[in-house]
Amino acid sequence: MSRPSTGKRLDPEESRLIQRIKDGETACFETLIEKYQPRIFATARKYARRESEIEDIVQEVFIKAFQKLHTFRAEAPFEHWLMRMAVRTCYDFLRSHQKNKESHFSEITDEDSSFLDRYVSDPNPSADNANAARALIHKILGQLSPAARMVITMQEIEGKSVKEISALTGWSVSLVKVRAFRARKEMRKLLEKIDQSQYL
Amino acid sequence: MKQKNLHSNIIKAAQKLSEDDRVPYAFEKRIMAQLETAPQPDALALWAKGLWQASVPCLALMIAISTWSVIGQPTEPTVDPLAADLELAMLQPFDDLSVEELW
Repeated sequence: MSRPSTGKRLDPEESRLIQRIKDGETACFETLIEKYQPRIFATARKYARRESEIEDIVQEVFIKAFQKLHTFRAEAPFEHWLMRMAVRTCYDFLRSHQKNKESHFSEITDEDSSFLDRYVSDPNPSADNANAARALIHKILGQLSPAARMVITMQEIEGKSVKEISALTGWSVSLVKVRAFRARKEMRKLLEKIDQSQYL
Repeated sequence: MKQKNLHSNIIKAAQKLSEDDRVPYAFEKRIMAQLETAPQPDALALWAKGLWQASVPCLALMIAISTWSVIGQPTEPTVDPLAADLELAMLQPFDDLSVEELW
């Protein structure tokens, strides 16, 4: 499936499609779902682990998008508007699941960190190893606060700028900077705890 | 040093993982079915809900004002000299009139 364009202009065909949905042709929304669902699934998989949770997030994003479509002013691409909604839904998901943290620090063993080391240096990792690495990253990042996890994922892993994060999350630029600073501090503390627990 | 290494390994490993954008079979149909069965927002119900929500602070404000008006009542009646003067000035022409002129 082809990836949606990331240009800054609104696709005229898409614009017409959105107008038709606004005029009451609900069935046209299916075309938009088909086009953007891989992107939303990929985003949701960065923050949730269980498939049922991921599907719930994606479903919520599209239902919200449909209900709020009348507020879309077509000044920027639909994809940007939808991604903002997806990121905010993921943040809400993290906040609501904050109490059910996936594991304790002691569960991250010395073997896990050496596996990560091997995975990073392996030029052609197998699918099994990739899945194991994905699970381990979720386990570690799952210990962070929702805001810290969002910032670490977007800034350090995806390489997004402060402005881009601000546009996606709806936080001000200065708030993103403050949260990025706190996230790094939180990450340092978390790694310290992991390090200490390995020697206990 | 070990921590720094672990931090950089986590980031590198996460970057190395390809985006998992798999979509379950006919997922769009599921959402469309959900949209068709979802109840449409009722404007009247939303308005009623808003009114009910507003009633609580209104009631609290009413109680606060009633309490304040009862407790904060001055012990001696106060007469505003400006108001008294104004009343006197306004009624002065009527004081000078005789009873016949009034009728």
